[in-house]
Amino acid sequence: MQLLIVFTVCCFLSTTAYSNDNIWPSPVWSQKEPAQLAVDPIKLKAFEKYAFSEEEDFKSDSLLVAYKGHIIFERYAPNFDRQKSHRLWSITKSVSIALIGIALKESLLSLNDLPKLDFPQLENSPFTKAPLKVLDLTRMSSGLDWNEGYEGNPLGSDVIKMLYTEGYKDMASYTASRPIKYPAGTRFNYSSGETNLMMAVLKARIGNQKKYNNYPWNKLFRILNINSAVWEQDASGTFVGSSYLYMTARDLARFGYLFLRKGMWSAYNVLPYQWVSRFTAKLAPSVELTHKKGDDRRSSYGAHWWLNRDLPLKKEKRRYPSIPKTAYFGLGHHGQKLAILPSHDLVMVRFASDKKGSIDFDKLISLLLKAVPAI
Amino acid sequence: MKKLLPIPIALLLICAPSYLFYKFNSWSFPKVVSAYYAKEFCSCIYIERRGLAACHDYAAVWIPISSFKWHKKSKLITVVGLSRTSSAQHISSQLGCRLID
Repeated sequence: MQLLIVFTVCCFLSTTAYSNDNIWPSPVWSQKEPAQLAVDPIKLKAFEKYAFSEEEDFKSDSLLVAYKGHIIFERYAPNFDRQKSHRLWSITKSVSIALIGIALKESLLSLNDLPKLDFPQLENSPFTKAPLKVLDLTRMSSGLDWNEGYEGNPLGSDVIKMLYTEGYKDMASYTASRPIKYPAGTRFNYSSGETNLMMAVLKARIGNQKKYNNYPWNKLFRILNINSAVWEQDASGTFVGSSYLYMTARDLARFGYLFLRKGMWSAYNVLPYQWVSRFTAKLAPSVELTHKKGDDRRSSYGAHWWLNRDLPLKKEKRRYPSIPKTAYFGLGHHGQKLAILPSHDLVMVRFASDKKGSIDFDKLISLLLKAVPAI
Repeated sequence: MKKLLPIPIALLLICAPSYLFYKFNSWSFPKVVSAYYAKEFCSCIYIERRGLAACHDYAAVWIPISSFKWHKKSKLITVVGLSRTSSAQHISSQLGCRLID
């Protein structure tokens, strides 16, 4: 009998020890040596060497890898450390969509809602049969005319006008006032304005500024033990969901881990799997309908997450050939990266100040995957 | 004997600079220099805590600014660049900085 009890306890312990689903970074991340998880430390060194190379014209500020629920790699450049928050730039968009998912769960919002109810500027669409819906905003497919260039096109950039000159007081209204160029849902055009319009619709649905201000903390950050988050608003009190969220690398890895765990956090379902899957696995239909130039022709997008999918209608292979098709990413200005790799049970965070050149993302991840066994 | 300029050329020489001056003043683009500097310096110093030199370096664009004022008590940063003035203020520990003017 005693033997049976010992056997049962051993079985239970071994199951929990190797079931990654039961490991949560609450309240703090667990750390393990790479070799403890069969990660090749020499190959991991090659990944580190590339990311922090002084011979390249990119500049990594922080790099963190969480594998099977444990941090196995973490390095900070001088002047950065694990307590310091870093700007996420457009990775902010992926956090915004998480909030939209939570609002969908709470029935505050529907993907079929019409933003024109809150923004009458959108009433004047020439495409009456294809009214703009929240769904289109989540997929960057509004049909609104928008130029997302930054330094490359400072004079024509709508994102610069929105953030700093014509639209900074009310970014959603600036976006809603852009001409409607295509029927909603038919053209993929990455637009920071669409995220801020989406965040303004969320504000309207919540209906109370104080509740809205606390919504990201009450519904997401506190549950995930994200204590470093700072999220800036425009003068109209709308979160700048496109660009202005700040947090530490460890906290951003927590957010990534929520998606890796399909919306679960310990026993709590923060974000229904239905929405995680829809945002990160379902290709926005407009991507296949829109022809782009250069590397952009192979870019794939879900809903506020970049995907790595083949595009058979366009006869294009996935953008990052060394990275699995199931991976998805938050990507921000100046080289910010959040990579979620379900095939390897892995989250990677890279903060950067790539003002001169950009890192080869495919090479970076392929070096990492050479060190880390798939699950 | 001095020759007078033809009237259309004289008008052009008078009107063109005035028109360009008017267009420059009504053009929103020049504000980006001071607005970017004020907002991103504010976020850099109060949220990211990168330090003074690093934050000035981060906020600078290729066109230099002509004035920088930091009112530490009110956490207000005011910058002048390309004849445009912009101010950003640290609002709170949760909501960070905001371009206010």
